This record gives sequence, structure tokens and C-alpha cells, in this order.
Amino acid sequence: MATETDQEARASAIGQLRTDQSTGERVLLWVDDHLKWLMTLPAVLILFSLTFYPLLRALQISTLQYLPTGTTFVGIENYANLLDSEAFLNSLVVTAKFVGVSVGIEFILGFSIALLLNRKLKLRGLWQTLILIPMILSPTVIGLIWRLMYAPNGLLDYIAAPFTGGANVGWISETGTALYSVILTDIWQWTPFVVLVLFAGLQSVPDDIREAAIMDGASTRQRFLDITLPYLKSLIVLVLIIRLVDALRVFAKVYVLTRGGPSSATNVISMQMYRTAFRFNNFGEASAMAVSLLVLVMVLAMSFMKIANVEFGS
Amino acid sequence: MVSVQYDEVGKKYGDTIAIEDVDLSVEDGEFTILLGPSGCGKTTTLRCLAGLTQPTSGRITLDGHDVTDIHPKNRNIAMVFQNFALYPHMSVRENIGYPLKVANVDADERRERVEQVAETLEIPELLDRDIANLSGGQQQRVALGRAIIRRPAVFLMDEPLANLDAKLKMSMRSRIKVLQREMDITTLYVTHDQEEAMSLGDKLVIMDKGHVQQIGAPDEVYHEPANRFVAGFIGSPSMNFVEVISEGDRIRAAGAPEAFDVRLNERVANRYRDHEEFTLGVRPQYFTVHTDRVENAVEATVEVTEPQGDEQIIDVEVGPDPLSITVVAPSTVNADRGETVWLTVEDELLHGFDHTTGDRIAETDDVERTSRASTSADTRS
Amino acid sequence: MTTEQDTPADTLPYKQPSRTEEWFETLSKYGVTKAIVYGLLGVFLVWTLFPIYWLVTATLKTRQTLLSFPPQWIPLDAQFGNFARLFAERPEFLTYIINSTLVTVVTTVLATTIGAMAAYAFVSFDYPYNLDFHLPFYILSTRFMPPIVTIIPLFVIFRNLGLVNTLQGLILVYTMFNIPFAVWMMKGFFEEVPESLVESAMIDGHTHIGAFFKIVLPLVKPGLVASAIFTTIITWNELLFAVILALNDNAITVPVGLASFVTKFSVQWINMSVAATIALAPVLVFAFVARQQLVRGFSMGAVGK
Repeated sequence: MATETDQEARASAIGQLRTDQSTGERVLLWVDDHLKWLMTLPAVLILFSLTFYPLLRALQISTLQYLPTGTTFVGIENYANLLDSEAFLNSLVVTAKFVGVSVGIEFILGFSIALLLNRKLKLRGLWQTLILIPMILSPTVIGLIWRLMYAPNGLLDYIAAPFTGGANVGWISETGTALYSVILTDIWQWTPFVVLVLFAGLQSVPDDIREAAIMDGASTRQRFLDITLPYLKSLIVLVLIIRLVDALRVFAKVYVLTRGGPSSATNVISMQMYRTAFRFNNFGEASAMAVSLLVLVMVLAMSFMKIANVEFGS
Repeated sequence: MVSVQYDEVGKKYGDTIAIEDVDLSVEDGEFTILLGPSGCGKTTTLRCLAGLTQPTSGRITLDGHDVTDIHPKNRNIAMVFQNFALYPHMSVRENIGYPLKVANVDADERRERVEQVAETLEIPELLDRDIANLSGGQQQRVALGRAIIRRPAVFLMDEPLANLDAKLKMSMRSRIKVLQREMDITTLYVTHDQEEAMSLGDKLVIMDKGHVQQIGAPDEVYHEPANRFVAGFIGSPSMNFVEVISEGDRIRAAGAPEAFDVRLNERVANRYRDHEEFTLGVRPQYFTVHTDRVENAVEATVEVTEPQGDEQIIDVEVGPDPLSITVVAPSTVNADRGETVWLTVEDELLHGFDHTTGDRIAETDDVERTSRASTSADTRS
Repeated sequence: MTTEQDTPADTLPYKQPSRTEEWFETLSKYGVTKAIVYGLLGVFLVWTLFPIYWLVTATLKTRQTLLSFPPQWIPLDAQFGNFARLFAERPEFLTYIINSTLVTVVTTVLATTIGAMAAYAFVSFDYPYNLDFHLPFYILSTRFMPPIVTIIPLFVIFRNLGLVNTLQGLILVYTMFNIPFAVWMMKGFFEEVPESLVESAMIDGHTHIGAFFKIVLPLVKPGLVASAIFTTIITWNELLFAVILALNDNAITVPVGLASFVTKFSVQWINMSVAATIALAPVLVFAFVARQQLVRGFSMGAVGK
């Protein structure tokens, strides 16, 4: 039963379906039509021009003899020089030691602490917030904090005094201890990260699966090996990749603590690269190092993911 | 095979009481159902036996041996979880065989027994599949397989059918019943679904607010509910409750004494002589709906009808300050919204509940009536 | 496994716990294990927090009490003048703070906006060649790239464009740096917004872009806050690019200024401590605001949702 008002309402409703559009509206509709490209354009543009393009340039520069006076193409000479460069090879060894020891200890220590804390404890929010702090501090600030700790006559010398008989250890000034002092700083900063992520992972193991294993008669050790570890595997791989990749490019900590010294004892690869490029102005060789480092990181990260993926697929 | 005994078991979380004073004995090989609304403590009761929850008071014994302080992994009790709790990174074979693996059963025997169990559950073709690729019903069978493989002393199931669709539920229900009978394992089974409980259990334990309300056979809890809670919880649609005043052989609704005024036969009326006021309970099935005026009937107005095939559920209103009553009538009864109908009560089948305690007022002919009623009783869903 | 007749113990309906199990159970029964765990947690917390305490208290000490033997655990004679002295002796530090603040604020706004837009597009549109799946993954993979790899070409490019020693140059680099984080973080949040919401907004007369700003963005505010805080922290802290692209007071940021307190030959301990404390203060505030999201960001979305 259409009354008069009904018809009026309908007429005005149809009237709103306008076909005439103002310029402003046409612009908006054009934006809407192309929205999926317009929204991604800035991100893609910036990433392309500041990541992929420089990468290509890095490849190019690595084949050049790059001098302020001009450039000459030298092919793979820069790469060949790297293999002869004692400083570079030494930086590889230093980096490997740094990455291996620090990530290894961070993982074992962090996982143990996460396991230990994986029970009903009070103040969970508080300790999680507190141990987060080292992760978010600037590596520069961290370097300075530990500079202070390692200072001659500083706190660590005082703590070590009963063992050293009061003599200063020279934590970051002796070739024997400098690298391990830098490693200790890294462990201090990143163990909490491993704890937080793996703790979150442990907490995400469903209660009923854990309980099902108990009812099936599994002991604590069997539950850890058969249930918890497989459950956490992908997270463990992720944590290790993140830590490996980040440790491989460590710079600020070393820059502030030791500048690569004493006598190259802490000269990690990025420090060596920095010095080659910006102290000795050898952009070509530094770029060759950069490309090598990139390949190394990619191979490491991909083989790690491969290990994880293959086993997930089966 | 063992018997299970709960002895005044209680569990408190701070000041909150999860269960209190649970006394329960389950005979060897018996299929016992813990039934109640969510939050009634049935799962806590089950988990206390599993050992996953440590009771704060009381003892639990298996065959007379106190197991209250025994670690759950040493109790030889198997459990099926609501979400099946299968190990996601293991194949079906590894899942079913896991209890044997942790018990160091050698690989050959393990394989043999896994295959045997798979045969029983008719899933041998699934053995090498991933858990992720199984349907709900298949996962359910794997969970059952994992529970029965080591022939546990007691079998616990926590709402094992809650996550299955209606049709699958029916078939798994009969499978579980057959399995339990064949293996003859003492079983405790938690559910909130009364239909499931009625059809599976030898014995029903009805719980509410952390307390056991009644323990009895399915027929018993249906026809002789211990109190108002059990009466209202069991049966569908729910029992009608009317606050009534008893006057000689008549009972009249407290809220509508003119509209609801029924004369009872003498034997039934005698039961309520001492109770001036009580709560009347009548199942919807025990009203008869008449479309013409009859003697000793309650006049009511039809509010809504819900056809169910053979029968229909009719909600009616009685009196000026309307009292809602639900009745079940054959689908042949013609009653439309707004029409007047007359309800008569089968007075032999009504119950009275104490006004204050909610307990059922004793019916001296309980036993006789039960046997008569159970022939005509309708435990439909 | 033994069969039922083998040992008398098997007549029990349960397995007798082993000696070690009993021992552990007794320990946990009397709260011993819990006490040990709390104790170790305490040690871990002290180990983690003490170095920071040591730096902050150093700002109140003198050159003599700072490196005294035995150490002064609590600064007794608090030297609040140390803060004023930093700005008196190193007035340029104020410029560094202003530079850092400008760079951080602009970068945060840019990276969060650009990242959120891209993330939304990847979540809601279909692209040819499955780009909506591949592109975010490639964007994320740049997070694995050591930044030092691109620093030489970027330096060369920026020098040609006159962007070295400018705040704009740093902002550009840091925006690039943070977009992957923003995209990846926001993606998770947008995925939780039901598609029908935008559709109904469009039926109600919004344009799609209008619905994005008026309906969707307010819903993902927690994600925006998290991305912004994360970007702020990363940018505020960054040293490598700043050390190379900012060589004079026009563009020097706080981390570079901090590093300059430490030279090969000497360390200005007190000024250094004061400056470092000023640098870490804003970051600490953010840590308490966005704890959960930070863990999520550091683990690239794997945990902490």
C-alpha cells in the first residue's frame, strides 16, 4: 500500500543517485579507482630508490677503482684484493667469533631463563617490561654504559679485584679480552630478547596439549623433547635468524667501545668496511666487502629458513 | 579395571569454591556421566581424578589406594580432551603410539598395537596422515585411540563431542558407548548435553554450583528429581514451575488463584497436605491440551506455537497477570496464537518442591509410579 | 613395559614414582623450586638493570667518586650541577637534541603513514602476479639486509644531490629504514578489520579513501601507536647512517654527539654520562607505554599480538 508520503520518499531517494559530479568529487572517485596503486606507490618508490637502486650501485662501485679524482673499471680486482687483505680476513674471523659466541650464549642462556620462568609467577608484566629496557636502548648509549663499567678502576675492575689482586684488567684495551668484553655487552643487551620471545612461545603451547602429554605418562624431559621443542621450532629458528643477522652487522657498539681496536682485535666486518671507505677512501674495496657481507647474510638466513621449512613441510 | 571413590573432595581458588564436598563412587566398569551447566564444577571434578587439578580437601582413591598425591603421569588414567589435544607435529600413528613410546614399549609391539587400535576405530588408512589434514570426526577417533591404546585403569572424557556437528555427534556417541562396553573400562564423562548424558550413562551425576545435586540412573533423575534444579535441568522443554497454594485437594497458583485452580486426586493431594505453599513442577509433556472447555482444566491463551513434526511446543499464558506455561501437544491439536485452550494436568506425574529448600516433597509411591511412568515416558530432546 | 603379573607393584592402579621424582615433588611442595626461580629471576633483573643504574647515578657524581675504589654505590653528594655544566661546556649538544627530535618526529609521521597505507592496500586489494603476497615479503626481507651494504652508494648519491649534512637526507634514509617495520606491523592489524566494514561505509556514502581515513584508521590506532613508537625508538637511536651522513652541526644527531665524548685518547666521563642519560630517558618512557608491541616488533610479528 503506497501512500503519498511513501512515494515522495522514494522519489527523493532516487534523486540522491546523482549522476552530476563536482570536480572535487571526480578527483576523489579517480583516487578511489586507482587506490590500490596510489597507496603502495610511496612505499615502493622509497624502498626502490633507497634500497634496491643503491644495492645495484654498490655492485657497480665494487667493480671500480673509486678515487676522488675519477673512477676506472677494474672488474673483480677489488674482490681479488679482499682475499689477499689480511685486515679483511681478520675481520671475518673476528666477526665469526663475535657472532658465534654471542648468539650461542644469548640463545642458551635466554632459552634456559625462559624455561625457568615458564610457570605461574607473580609480577609477570613487571619483569617483562624491565628486561625489555636493554633491547630498546641505543647501541651508542649501551656502548657508553659499558665503557663506564669497563673503565680502568671502574666497577668491573673492582669486582674482579679478588681474582686479579687489584690490578686493572684492561677489559677493552687488552687484545686478549677486548672482543669478549664487546661480546659480553651484546649478551647483556640481547639475552632478554631471546627470553621474551621464547617465553611468549612457551606460553602459547596450549594447556590441553601439555596436559594430554602428562596424561599419556610423559616425564618432564620427554614432554620437553617431544612436545615443547617441536612446538617452538619455528620460533627458535626465527630468533636465531634475527640474532644472527643483527650480530653480523654490529657496528655502533664496537664503534663506541673500541673503534675496532686494540690492534684489530675487535675489528668486525662493518668496522673494517667503514674504515676502508671513510678513513682510507677506498670505496671500491669497501663496496666489494659490502656485497660479500650481503651474500653471506643471505646464504645464512636462507639456509636457516630452508632447514625450518623442509621439516615443516614433511 | 578399578573402582573410583571421591571422598569429600573440594577445590577452592582463593575464596572461590570450584567444587565442595563431592562424594562419589564409581563401580568397576561403570560409565558415569558428570552433567551440569557450565561452571558447575564438573570439569574440575574430572580433573581432580586426572590429577591435573590438585584438590584442596578430601581424598580420591582407586580400588582403595589413595592417589590424591600421585603425579598424574603415574596414575594410568587416560583422558580425551574437548579440543582433542592431538600433537600437531606428529602423524596419526605417532599420536596414537605416544603413550606407549613414553612407556618404552619397543617399536614392534608399538606398531602392532597402534594398528590394532586403528582397526578397532576403523581408521587404519589414516595412520600416516598429518593431524592438520584430518576432519573433526577423524581427529576425535585419533584422540580416542591415543586414550585406549595403553588400556588405562580409568578413562576420562571432557566434553569429547562438543566440537562435532550434530550428525557426527550421534554416530560417535554410539561408537563411544560400544567401545566402553567392549573394553569394560571405568569411565567418567563430562558433558553439558543432557541428551548425550541420558543416552550414554549407566549413572548420572548432576552438579550445580560446585555441589552434587543428584546421583542416579538416567530414568531416576528424570522421573524422581531430587530437587528443583535437577527437575528443571533435565528434560526438554524444561519443566514448568508454578508457585501454588494448597487448599485441601485443590491447588491454586499463588499469582493467579482464580485462573489456575486444579483439583487433584486424593492420593496425590495427600502428599501436599502439610505444605500450605509449595512449588508445583509439571513437565510440558504431562499437560493435555483441549480446544474445548473440559472439567477441572486451566483456561489459557496461546502465545506461540512451534511445530516439531509429530508434536508441537505451545507457549500459553494463564490469568490476568500472565503466568507462562509451556506444553507439548500432538501436532493434530489446532491452536493458533490468541486462541483459548484448556489444560488438564496428569496429576500422578506432577511434582511438588519445597518452597524454601527446593527439595522434592516425598512421594510415597515413588517406586511404583516410576515403573509405570517409564513405559510412557518421553525422554525426547 | 612389564606385564601385570610381573611385579607386586603392578597390582597398584598407579605407577610408583621414582626416587628423583619424589625428591623433586617434595621440593616443589615446600615451595623450594619456586623460591629458587624467584631468586634467579632476581639475579637476572639485577644483572640487566644495574648497568643502567650505574650510568644514571654517574650523572650525580664527581670525576673522583665516579671511578673510586671501592665504588660509591649510591651517590651521596649529588652533583645536580652536572646537567647545567654539560650544556655550558658543550652548548652544541642542545642543537643535537633539536636535530634528533626533528628527524625523529618527521620520520615517524612519514614512515607510519606510508607504511600503513601500503599495508592496508596489500591486505585489501588483489594485485596481478600475486604481488599482494610477494611485495610485503620482499619489503620485510630488506630488514635482513645489513644497512652498511647500501651506505657507500647512498653516500655517493646523497653527495651528488647535496643531501649530505642535511636533516632531509637523514629523514629520507630513516623513513626507508622504518617502512618495512611499519608495513609488517600494520598488516597484522588491518587483517583483523572485517572487510564488510569498509563495504558498508561505502554503501553509506563514503569513498574508499574516505572510509580508510575515517573508519579503518581509528580502528587500528593501537597498531599506529605501536609502529610510531617503534619507529621513534629506532630513529632516535641510530648511529651508523648519522655518523656517515651528518658531519657538521647542521645535522649531527644525539648518538653521534654521544660518540664524540669518547675519543681514542680521553673520555669526558661526567659529561658523557649526563648526555647518555638524557638520550635514554625518552626511550625508557616509551618502553613502559608499549611493552607488548615492542616485543612484537623486535620479533617481526611472531609473538606478542
